[in-house]
Amino acid sequence: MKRRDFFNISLPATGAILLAPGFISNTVFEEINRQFSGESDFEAYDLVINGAGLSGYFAALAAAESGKKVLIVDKRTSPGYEIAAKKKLWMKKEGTSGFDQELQQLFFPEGERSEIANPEVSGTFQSEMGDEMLLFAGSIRKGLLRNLLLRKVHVLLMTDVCGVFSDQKKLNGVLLAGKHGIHAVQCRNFIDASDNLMFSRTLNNMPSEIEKAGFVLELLGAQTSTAKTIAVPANIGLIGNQIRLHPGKRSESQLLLEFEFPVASQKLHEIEQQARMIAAQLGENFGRIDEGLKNANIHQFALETSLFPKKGSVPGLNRSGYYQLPTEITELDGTNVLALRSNAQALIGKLKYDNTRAALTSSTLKIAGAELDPGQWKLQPIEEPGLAVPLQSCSFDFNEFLVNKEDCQVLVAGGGTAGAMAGLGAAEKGANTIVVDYFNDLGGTKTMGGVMGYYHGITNHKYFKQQVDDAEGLAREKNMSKKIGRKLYHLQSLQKYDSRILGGAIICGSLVSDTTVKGVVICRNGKLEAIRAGITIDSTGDGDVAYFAGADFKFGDSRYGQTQNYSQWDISAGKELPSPTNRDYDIIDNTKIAELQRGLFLSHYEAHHYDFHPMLTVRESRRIEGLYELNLIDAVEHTHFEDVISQASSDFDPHNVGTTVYSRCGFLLPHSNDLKVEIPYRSIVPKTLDGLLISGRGFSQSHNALQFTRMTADLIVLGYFTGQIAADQAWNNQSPRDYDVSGLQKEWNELGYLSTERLTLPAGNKADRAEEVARRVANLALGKQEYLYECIKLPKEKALGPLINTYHKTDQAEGKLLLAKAIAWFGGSEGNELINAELKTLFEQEQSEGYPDGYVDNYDFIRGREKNVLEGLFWRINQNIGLLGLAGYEPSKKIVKHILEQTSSGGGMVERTNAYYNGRIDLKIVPFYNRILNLCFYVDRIPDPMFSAGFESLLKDENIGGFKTEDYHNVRWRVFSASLELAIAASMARCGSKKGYSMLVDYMDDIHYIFKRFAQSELKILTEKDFGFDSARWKAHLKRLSFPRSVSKLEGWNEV
Amino acid sequence: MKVWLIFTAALLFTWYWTDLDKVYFQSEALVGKQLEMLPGEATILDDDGEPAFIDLLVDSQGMFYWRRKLHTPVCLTGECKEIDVGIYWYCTGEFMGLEVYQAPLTRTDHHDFTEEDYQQLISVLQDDWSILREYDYQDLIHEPVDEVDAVTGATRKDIAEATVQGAVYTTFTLWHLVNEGEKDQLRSLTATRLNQDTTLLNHLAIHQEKHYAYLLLDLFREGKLQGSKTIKALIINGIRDSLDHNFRQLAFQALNKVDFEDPAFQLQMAEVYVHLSVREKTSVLNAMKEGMELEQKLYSALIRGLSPDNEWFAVKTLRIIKTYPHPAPQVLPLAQELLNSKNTFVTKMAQDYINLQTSNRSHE
Repeated sequence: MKRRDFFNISLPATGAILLAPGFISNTVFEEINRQFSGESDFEAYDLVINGAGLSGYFAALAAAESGKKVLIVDKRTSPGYEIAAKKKLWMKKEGTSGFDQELQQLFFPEGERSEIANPEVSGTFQSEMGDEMLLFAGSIRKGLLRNLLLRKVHVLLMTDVCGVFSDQKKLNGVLLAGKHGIHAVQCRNFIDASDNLMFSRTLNNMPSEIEKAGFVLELLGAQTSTAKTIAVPANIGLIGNQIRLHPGKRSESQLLLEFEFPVASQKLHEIEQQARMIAAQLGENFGRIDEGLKNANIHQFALETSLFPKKGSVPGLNRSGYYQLPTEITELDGTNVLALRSNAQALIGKLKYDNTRAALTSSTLKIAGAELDPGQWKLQPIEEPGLAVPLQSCSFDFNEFLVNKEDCQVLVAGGGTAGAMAGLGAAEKGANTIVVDYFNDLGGTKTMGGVMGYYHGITNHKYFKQQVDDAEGLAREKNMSKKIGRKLYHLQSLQKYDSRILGGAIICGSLVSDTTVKGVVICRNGKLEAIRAGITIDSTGDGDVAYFAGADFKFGDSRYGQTQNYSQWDISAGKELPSPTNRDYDIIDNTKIAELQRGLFLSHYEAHHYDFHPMLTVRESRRIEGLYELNLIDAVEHTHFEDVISQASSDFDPHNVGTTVYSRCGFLLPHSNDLKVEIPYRSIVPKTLDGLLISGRGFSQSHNALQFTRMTADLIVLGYFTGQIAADQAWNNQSPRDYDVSGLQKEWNELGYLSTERLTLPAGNKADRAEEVARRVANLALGKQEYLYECIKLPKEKALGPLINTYHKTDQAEGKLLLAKAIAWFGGSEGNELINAELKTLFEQEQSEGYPDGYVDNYDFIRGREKNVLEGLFWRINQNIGLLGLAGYEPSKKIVKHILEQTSSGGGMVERTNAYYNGRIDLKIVPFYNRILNLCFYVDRIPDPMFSAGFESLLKDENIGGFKTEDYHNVRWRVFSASLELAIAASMARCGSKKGYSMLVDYMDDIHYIFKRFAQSELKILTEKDFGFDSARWKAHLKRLSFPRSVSKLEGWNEV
Repeated sequence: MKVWLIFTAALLFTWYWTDLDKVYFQSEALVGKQLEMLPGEATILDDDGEPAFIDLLVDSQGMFYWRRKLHTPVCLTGECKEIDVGIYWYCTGEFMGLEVYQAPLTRTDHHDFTEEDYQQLISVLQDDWSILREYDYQDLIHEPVDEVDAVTGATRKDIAEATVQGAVYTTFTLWHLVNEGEKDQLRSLTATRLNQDTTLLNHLAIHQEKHYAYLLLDLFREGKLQGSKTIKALIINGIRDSLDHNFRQLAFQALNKVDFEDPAFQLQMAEVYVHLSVREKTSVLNAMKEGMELEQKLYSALIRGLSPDNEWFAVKTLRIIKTYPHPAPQVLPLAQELLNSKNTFVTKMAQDYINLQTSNRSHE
């Protein structure tokens, strides 16, 4: 099935809106983007709800239907925690006949039918089996979110309520913790609908005793498919010495295994870990427990346990406007779903909304363990253009007011691909280690994002292989999928060293003294805590800890600020799903609240109904500036660093066409340049902070270099080594900035982790040496095309002189032309006319011959292309355009204008070689995408009003103009068309064109923050004014300007 | 009598296979190797979770190997061809070699494998991290064999380099038979055998090729091999060995599984402990259980040089020694000094120690 077709049928059609497929897309666009399409026109919500379980959900719908402004927040990545996060995917039939159409469509949507593959199920909804109705986690997550958005409820996922603002009598706001920090939002009423009212318990410092906990495993490969209870050996330690099996509707071999256990600790993270260790014990004993489980495999387990606290009342807040909605359900059935809805509706009916107060002023901020008076907290506006949720950042003295503190030697903030291994590296070195992570399971992209199939990078590394063998061996022993085995491996390996894993923790701040990072602030179940450490490792992947502490960072490419797109993976389940389970999505700026939420919403809408991974897999985010910034030349010239700690390997894989100067001049095309690069210690040490190391993709490197260093195998090894470094520093009380890594290098060398060759190479690279410069230039002068790439990699200050000298001495025509190209690359003028002449000839040839196959990027053709020699007219023309632009050769404007005027899109989206490539968002380009982008590249550097007409003509091409992301399909499918349109807009503006300016202003209202930011920065430069992201003010300003304006050259050398 | 019968049966079995199996190809590592099959049945699970029989072979030096003989279909878009092979592994679980019986391997163009094809095949099978690891069979059969591209972003070129040209499915099938979980399972079989045969265990422990000692420590670390005097001696030797970092690292990792309650082991540990760096000492402490019974010598070693200057190390030690019945007089003041720390973890641990000592005194 085509992706688009699948998408249209996969949306849950609710009772509220039953749409014909043709209308769905525009509606969907509105639903998803409403929350990000304009700043709020109000200051306070009528109601904020904490916890998007069923009770919170029903309350939100009821309030929204009565016209109230409602915000619902949940600390998880999806709503519906008591079903989806706890994996309780069954419901007793009792009472379900009383479901109205909306509830029927919520729990058993039509769209899921094509994914139901268990022939034993029956009933109208194909979900009945015995006395149970079977559920899909994906359907619940998708349906709840969509219904909330349909009712215009604002939703913040991955966000937890951690405090309340009030005056003497009334609550008037809540404090929110998220990965973007701590924020305040005003409200008139608040309902705590958190799991077991955990927030209210925490706020009042009255944690009730947990009596027992439950956990659910999803099995595949079972040979029994009926609900039953089975006895298990007493030594496993389950309540009643039994497990309960429930069938699944995905396939006849799918089972949900439920068990309960007495808790060994009152710490919630330890209860989570206990559940997983029991799961491992069960897995190991499947064959002995039941014949039907002999070949069963743990395919997934729940994201969190079900907790059963002692019964008793939970205190709220002694202020009006604070309400509680108990969420306890022992077993879900139709009757209690209806009861939850009635209870929620009844509570909403009781709420009072005091709209008479113009401004809500607070006299107290209460957080767990402390009450702050006015003046002790500070509210500030945030830069979130378009976000309709009226948030303000909130800061206070963490040292003074956070009473919950833990200490360690090494703190790993973020237990993902690199972080989990950093924790192990530190723990193995004996350091008292804490790993904090958002999820209850470590592994990040690999486990929670599900990207298990890939181990790209240097997979032949001894340590890498060893840890994978250990993890996969464990998975086999415990009858688990590799993904679940890896989660268990992280848990077991850290527990072995007495390390503390604080799961379910939102990292929302840094502890800083002067410029030294002393730890992080986390929020767990509504409680803010300070985790203090000798050495902190930021392995958030987004550089969040460093950012909170004030580090400098870079983001995206240096021209447009664009990053790679993100992905989200569905969970595959044996039999094929209606369409591929891995998808590339939009480009987002994960450091922005609105963008993260938008990414989560998009992926919910497009996921399959069976289930999807809880984590967005983000490829690129902040790059924290370090003592050394790894760059492209280091990568392509194989720079050796005396402080090398590891290596990385990849081809150049930017997941877009490549926007930097190297790509525009044909030297760095996607999937060419497969190579290994060394990573120096200095690049993981922030430039302006101490006490902190960076692990994972966020270390100091250029956008180009990142494309070679982000592969999982390499990040696993780098993470592990970073942990060892941190432990060594902690034991020796050394500052990361003054640390000498040679001791560990020697140790890694002796263990076979770092080759002797690596340590004995002379520092630097060949390109720095005079004899090498001379050799390359001499070969170029001989007309050897492959030496053009070799010469442009040389340092300008060393290469330009010899190139010009040789150019003047050379008679050989081909060599002279190549020398001219290299000179143009460095901005020189010698031989520009030769390039211009060749460009003219090549273009005439292209015009007369027509466009050959392969004129667009074909990954297979480009991959592994040796020496970067360009073949075919299309890219040779592009290269000459790029080089003439770099050289600033004014006489070339005539031919470039001609080319521009002869250029069109070339047709619709390029068909790729297979369905997978066709589904990749980064490959959705029109045939002449790269040509047009190169023309923009040229015009940015040599702007002239003469080009405006050509660009205007291009914009009339139906495949080029109008792709500002105004409707959903364009956001999802044509984001790179919008990138192209924006590039054209900027070039036209640089030529002084009014249309260019007004298009840039239009992009200020685009849904993508990255586009907005580029448009705003261009306008700032061009007008020397700054109206922020306020398009109305920009428009008003443009009216005052006279057009055409003077041209404005793009100055400066592009990033390496 | 019983032994003789087993021996005869083994001979007959060997003859049977030898006679039936015309060997079309034998990899270099197997050439000239006189391997004898021992009686008994061992199984591993194949890629479908079904049990597969494994033969145990020994050479004249007493070193043992594993072999799986199988007929398996290699399918290409519905058309299947049987192959008949023997796969050999070292006792470490590493791939050793391949024999091809009944008929030579063929390519999709129906031509027999050439010598170069076999060499390429062996080279691919030896690479336990081949790119083939990342592919499921389903990924390959979506495309005609000469256009294998698959869905993961890899290309024909990647596949071609990882397979014998024109024999993608044969290579793929064999690679997974050799490398997909086999190593781990065979190592478990090896451990089972070593747990039953102390002589063999000792033989491997002192073998001149040190990777056998590594294997023993690794199997012990993984919980597959039982603790024994031999293993404990290996651990102590490993910790003592300052030149072989691999050995040393494995020895430290193996500590987590060792029975520290063994007084003899504690005495040996007491001797080496005092020579370790603080970081290495913490690895030892990590492996010891809170409240365990300590020999006096080890207790003395643990508290030697203990100082509040390194509070993390100090509390790590206090945790282990807190139930020692005859505490040295200098330890309690040390714990009291640690109460002044700003570190919540340190003060908690110090307080735990003090509380216990106070409680013990009140009971005395």
